[in-house]
Amino acid sequence: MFRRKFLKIAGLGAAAAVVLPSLGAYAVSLNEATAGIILHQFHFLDLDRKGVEQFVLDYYQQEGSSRSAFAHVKMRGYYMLNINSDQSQLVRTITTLYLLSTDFFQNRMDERKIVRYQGIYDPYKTPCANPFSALYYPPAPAA
Amino acid sequence: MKHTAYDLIVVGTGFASTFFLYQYLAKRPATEKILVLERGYPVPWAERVKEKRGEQTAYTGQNPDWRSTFVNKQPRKDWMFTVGFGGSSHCWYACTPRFLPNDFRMKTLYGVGNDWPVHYEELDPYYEQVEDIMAVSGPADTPFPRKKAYAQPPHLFTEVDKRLHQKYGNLYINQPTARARVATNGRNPCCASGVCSVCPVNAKFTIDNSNMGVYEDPRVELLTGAQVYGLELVQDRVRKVSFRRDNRDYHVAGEVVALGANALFNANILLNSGDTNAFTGQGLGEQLGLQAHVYLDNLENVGGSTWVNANGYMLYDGDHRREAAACLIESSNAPFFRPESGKWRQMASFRMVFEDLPTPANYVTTSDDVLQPAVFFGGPSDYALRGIERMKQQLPEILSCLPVEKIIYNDPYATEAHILGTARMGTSTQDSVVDKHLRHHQYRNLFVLGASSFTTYTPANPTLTLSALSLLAADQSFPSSHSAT
Ligand SMILES: Cc1cc2nc3c(=O)[nH]c(=O)nc-3n(C[C@H](O)[C@H](O)[C@H](O)COP(=O)(O)OP(=O)(O)OC[C@H]3O[C@@H](n4cnc5c(N)ncnc54)[C@H](O)[C@@H]3O)c2cc1C
Ligand code: SF4
Repeated sequence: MFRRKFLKIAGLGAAAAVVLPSLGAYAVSLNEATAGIILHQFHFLDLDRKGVEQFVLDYYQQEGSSRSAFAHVKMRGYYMLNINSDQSQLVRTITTLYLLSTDFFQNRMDERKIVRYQGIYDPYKTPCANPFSALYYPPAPAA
Repeated sequence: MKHTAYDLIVVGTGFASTFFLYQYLAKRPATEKILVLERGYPVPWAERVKEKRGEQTAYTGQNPDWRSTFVNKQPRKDWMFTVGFGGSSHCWYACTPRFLPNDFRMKTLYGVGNDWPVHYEELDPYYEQVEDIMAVSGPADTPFPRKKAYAQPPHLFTEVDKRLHQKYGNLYINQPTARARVATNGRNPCCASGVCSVCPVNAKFTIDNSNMGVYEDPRVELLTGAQVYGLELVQDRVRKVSFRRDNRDYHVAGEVVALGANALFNANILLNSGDTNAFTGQGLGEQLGLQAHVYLDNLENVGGSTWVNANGYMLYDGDHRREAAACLIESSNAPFFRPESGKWRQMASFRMVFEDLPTPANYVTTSDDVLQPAVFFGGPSDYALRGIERMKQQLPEILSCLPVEKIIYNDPYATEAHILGTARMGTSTQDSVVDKHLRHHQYRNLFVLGASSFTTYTPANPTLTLSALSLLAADQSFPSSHSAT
């Protein structure tokens, strides 16, 4: 099980390692790659770019230096290969956290408005902020 | 320590120990002397929330991180828990479904694993007692028989849950959970923040907010910072418990001893002590889980009131369990979304949890350090992996009452955060370490509590059941005293 899973992951990493130099990926920093992934994922929204960059800074500061060199290569590879959140759980996690950290859901998902970063989504600072919960979609009163 | 000898010595202060003590105290006289040895320290809920906000508190670093407490021989496999007063009640997510009656009879019904020596009907009143103490929220109709209503009304379904419930009835229910639906006992209603390991609004049940009165009882002496590593075993009895505190070793005598230190440390303590039962330390396990994201055509999945809104039993029990693991479905209500214009919540996300069986590749042994077990994990069984394949074949049909566009499966999680086996329950030393009262077959004054006693690893979350087993063990093993307080 571990071996099979590892080979699968290593396979993707190895692919990235082979294609990355030819794509010029090493010229891209981890932060640029992460911001690029977010911009690509939400290309149909008007994201405030400085906010995206700040989010990436805050995200890696919170994560600490625990990210391995392999994770760095992986993020750059994902950026160069335009991997989206349907293809990678890591991309889903980061892009979800980004959008939850903006005013997008306060604006009731109004896609015409500029999406502004507001600080990393933190249920300990703002509990009960799940935008899809019964607090925001209360049950219809019984007829 | 106030005394050199005690009527009862309990190790740990998590669910297993606390529920055992609760029942024991209800039966025993006012003269009883009880010592509780806990390796960690208390950290109040408000301080845990502060830590989560990144603030320094006087409690920071008092209890060790779980990763530093054992030698993990398979680092790609996690075993998560919280060390300290109240144990993993401080990090659990409070999902509390019961097991199904058939979970206890896997050998007889499906020819796999072994039967538990205890049956559902016998456990039922203890299940009820734990559910009342935890003020569990749940629906009226469940796939497991219950005699009375849950203490709290059920949490709210999302739109997707409503449709699945309509189709499957009591095979798709509001999750029974100790995340409060309404305020109770100092706990606030759950509001679906989804970070239940430390709940920001104190909605889930913990040992700290339990109001069980166990550690305030004058018969109980609680010693924190006391790490148990061995037992003195003489002529088929435990005489003394050995522990380390402030770098000094102590040995204290007990008439009865109950280990509630979790399946890694219970096994380590037994093996350090020279327990030669062939099953001690063997068959460490847990369930296997993975996430299935389901994209929906024009159906908004909103309105749930907690973190896991519902449990689905459509892939759980049946003859397939001869070949492939049962699967319990958890309907997630985390703030996930679909990154597509106008379709944000046209999506459901299910955690698919598969049962497993004890296998020889997974076990606990001692290490060079008496305080640290060595933990080996070869991987989940083929039985569990076949359960995943079966689920993938059947899920599209099961979800056919929903407008499904596509299903995306993640890789399995590194852990379901449950630690099971290592002192399994059975009828004799030929098949197990403890009996149905969690008493060691050989050392009859020794109880080995908690999920270390599980015979097989049903997909349902373990804590409600292990707490009920503690109540049963204490209730049926000790005579009632008229002068009990
Ligand atoms: C993140 C997370 C989420 C979870 N969610 C759920 C859920 O939703 N539903 C569910 O059913 N289960 C859940 N669990 C599992 C649940 O927490 C455990 O099943 C349960 O806590 C086990 O209870 P226990 O009393 O046996 O052990 P614990 O709660 O782990 O308590 C063990 C106690 O023993 C002490 N101890 C350990 N070693 C020693 C020693 N050598 N000497 C003295 N004291 C010692 C510890 O400090 C602790 O107090 C979750 C677990 C985690 C980590
Ligand atoms: S879902 Fe949120 S409010 Fe409910 S128990 Fe979990 S953390 Fe607490």
